[in-house]
Amino acid sequence: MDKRDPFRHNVLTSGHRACSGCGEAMAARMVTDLIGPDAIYVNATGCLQVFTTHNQQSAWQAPWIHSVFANAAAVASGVEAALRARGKETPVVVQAGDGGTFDIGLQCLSGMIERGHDVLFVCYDNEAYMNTGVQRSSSTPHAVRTTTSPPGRLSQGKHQLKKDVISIIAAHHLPYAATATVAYFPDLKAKVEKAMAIKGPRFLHILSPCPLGWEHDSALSVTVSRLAVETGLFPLVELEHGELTGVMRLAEPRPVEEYLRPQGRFKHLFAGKEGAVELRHLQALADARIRRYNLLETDTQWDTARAMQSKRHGCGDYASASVSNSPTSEAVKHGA
Amino acid sequence: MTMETKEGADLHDIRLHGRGGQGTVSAAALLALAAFEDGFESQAFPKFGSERRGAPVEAYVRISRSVIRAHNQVYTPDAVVIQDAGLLRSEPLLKGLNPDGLIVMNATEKPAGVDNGFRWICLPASQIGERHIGRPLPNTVLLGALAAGTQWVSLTALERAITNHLASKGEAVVNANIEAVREGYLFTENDEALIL
Amino acid sequence: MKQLLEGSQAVAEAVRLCRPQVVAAYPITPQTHIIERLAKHVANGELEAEFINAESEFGAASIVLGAVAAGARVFTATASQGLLLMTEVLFNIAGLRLPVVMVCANRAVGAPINIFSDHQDSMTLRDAGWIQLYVESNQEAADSIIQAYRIAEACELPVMVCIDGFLLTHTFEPVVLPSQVEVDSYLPAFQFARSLDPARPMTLGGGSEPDNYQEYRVAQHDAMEKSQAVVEAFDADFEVQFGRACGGLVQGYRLEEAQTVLLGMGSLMGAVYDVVDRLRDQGQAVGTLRLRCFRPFPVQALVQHLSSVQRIIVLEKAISIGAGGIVATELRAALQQAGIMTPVESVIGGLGGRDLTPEVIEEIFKETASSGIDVINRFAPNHIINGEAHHG
Repeated sequence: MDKRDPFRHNVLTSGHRACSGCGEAMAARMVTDLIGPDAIYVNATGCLQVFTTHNQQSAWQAPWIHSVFANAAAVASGVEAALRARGKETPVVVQAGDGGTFDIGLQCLSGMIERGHDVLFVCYDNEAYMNTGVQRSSSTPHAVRTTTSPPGRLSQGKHQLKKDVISIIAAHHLPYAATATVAYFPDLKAKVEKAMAIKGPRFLHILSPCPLGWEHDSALSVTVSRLAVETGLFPLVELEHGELTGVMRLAEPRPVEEYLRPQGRFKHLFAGKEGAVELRHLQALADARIRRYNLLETDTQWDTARAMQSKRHGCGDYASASVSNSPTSEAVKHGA
Repeated sequence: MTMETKEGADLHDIRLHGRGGQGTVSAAALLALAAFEDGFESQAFPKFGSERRGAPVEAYVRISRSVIRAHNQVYTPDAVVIQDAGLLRSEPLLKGLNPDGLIVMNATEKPAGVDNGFRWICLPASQIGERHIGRPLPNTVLLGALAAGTQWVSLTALERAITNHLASKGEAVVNANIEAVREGYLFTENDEALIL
Repeated sequence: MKQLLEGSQAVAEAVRLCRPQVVAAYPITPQTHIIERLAKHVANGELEAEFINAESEFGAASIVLGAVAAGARVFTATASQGLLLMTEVLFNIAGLRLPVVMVCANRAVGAPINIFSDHQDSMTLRDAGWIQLYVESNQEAADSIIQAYRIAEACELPVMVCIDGFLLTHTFEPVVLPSQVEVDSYLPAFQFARSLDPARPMTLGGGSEPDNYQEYRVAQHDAMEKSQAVVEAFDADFEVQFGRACGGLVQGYRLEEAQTVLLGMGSLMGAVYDVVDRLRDQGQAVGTLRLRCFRPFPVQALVQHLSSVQRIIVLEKAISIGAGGIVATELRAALQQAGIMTPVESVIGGLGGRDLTPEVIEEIFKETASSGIDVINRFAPNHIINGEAHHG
């Protein structure tokens, strides 16, 4: 336990420089405190690395190494091999953002999993290259505004869909892969503990809202994280050896618009006809994910038309143009 | 003009030609190993290409009484070993061969139109190799012939080299190659090879 | 006991004797025989190590980085494209002051793609902060690897042992391999003071800003400078224990009263020694100096050996496009700084595996300004046999 705190390890301790409301800092504190200081942490370049080890300072109370952007999984492979060669059993954990996982880090990650290293790889996904100023990654969802996928006369934001990384990872048939997010702590806790009890390569994909890049109120990170799940856009699933073994069911899915409205990165979709088309695309994507993972408790298929009529959460009609744009008022209405 | 005078420098330089898959590089290693067994300084290395079956391959061997320091290719060999006679049509296999040089070739007859005063030893090395090894590998047979024709290395040394170098391939392969090198040697020694 | 060994075999055996605990590599011609032999040793229990098949050279370098940071002795090998692919990580290893030992099986860099030997690959990494040793024979390859571990671990600097691809790696020549007992006596077990350990948690690889970055580089540069003495001392120790040396930082041959000295690195030296002998027999006052340690650049040793020579020729197998010879340029600067104004002739040759034969080397000695050649910056002549150019 942290000397100053009888209840927490504080593996990631205070004094770091994350933005207020940072979903990644939240997630990293949760994950590393669940694992504890008796582990070796390998960090890719990115927000977490930068805001915890700024200029000769460190917020880590555990052994921690940062090498370069793309190689965290390979460095961790080496750490794990060395520990094995030296007869030591310290757990090895990688922490990377979506850049260091989906894009530049994918090759090393695939190699690490393919070779079967006993390493837990945690991706804190804030859906863009946030550390360098909000440039798009392959994890950035469809139609999102980033500095390198800006909306304009000819564009509605990112053209491509969010890369389905959990499927890519699961296709390696590794022992355990799961998605989680900060709004569902008991679920995240169960998944971290489950992962830590398994040997071999394990992967956690944790959606981590970024108030700065997603352009929402810094007090709304947990709310936004919850809405991502409740709309079906970010299913909470578990896959073991490539097979789907766990799904968090949705009692009543929310229309995607509830998730999109609080975030300025989707604002352009509410401005006109082309935006409205993308809203429908995003709803269709959510519907598809709900169907794919069978997120509903009931037998019936989710019905988009029904969602459009749902006024339960007071946002008005799905296709209405007169909905209030204030994220705060939305939050209050949702009881956040 | 050869820069390599024979006093104190290389005694014998050999160049081997074959196609990928015929064991040319291995033959060069075996020859150098045999010379080393016989107490000489020796060196062997391939002229490399990519690892493809059937492509022309060249390898070099140097045998000397003094330490061999240079790592250059052999341009003026004293002997050329040709594992695949067909290569004569397309490659300059005899380039640089010393005027009184020797050619040891896997063939039953000297090729037509080549008459420049070299000595030739021709023998059906692939057939002999096949009888012992089970595949038409001419390399150890030709080494036996070279040894018999020149006495640059002893048969015993070649056998020892084979035993050590091919050990990882198993006793059967080692024995087969020893039989092959012996037959190549005797074939030549007993004038059964075509010696010109 | 002397054995006839292929270079890659000598390397693999030397590595095995040094007891690495983690070996990671990605295959690339002409390094493949080295890692294949090590894989076999591990599979047969002859080398107790984790053998990791990396997904790329970038991965391989990263794996050994992590392994050494976690306290294990490591090994990797590469060449050419692979070395360049590792570049980012090699700078990282050096900056983190991790004692990694790597063999670079020197090979030309594409485009155009070429699998034959020259020094462009390792030369391109000369600024990365790695000690670089260039060996002239398979014997020296084996011996330098053993020395490399001791140097790396004592200095906390990574060491690159440069071994000419094909010319050495695929050449069979006589080598004496030491015994395990002898190597254990020369090379103690690896103890890394900064290893990742929950008992002593440390942050490795944190951020730096203008107010402190330079101090890291100064410390690194300083460590490199000091490593010259270590390279020499450990070679001297090696000689005491094993009865043979690797030449320390620079090694002269027939420098007594030499008026012309040719400086070179690696396996091309063999032919140079033969030519020097021949020219000396003809009464010419020539000698040669082998640069064994290129990084750190042994200014003092070079100045000492070349201060009273009338003609200096550098023959090197790499080129800085747009600038010219790399070693020649560094030598010119070092000599000028010491007040030695003897012109240094830069000769670039052997690129892409072109054979530097005794004929070519003798021609290099013979070439003078009067033959209409720009002797200060030139390419090596081609090898002519019977009036026909041979490119090797």
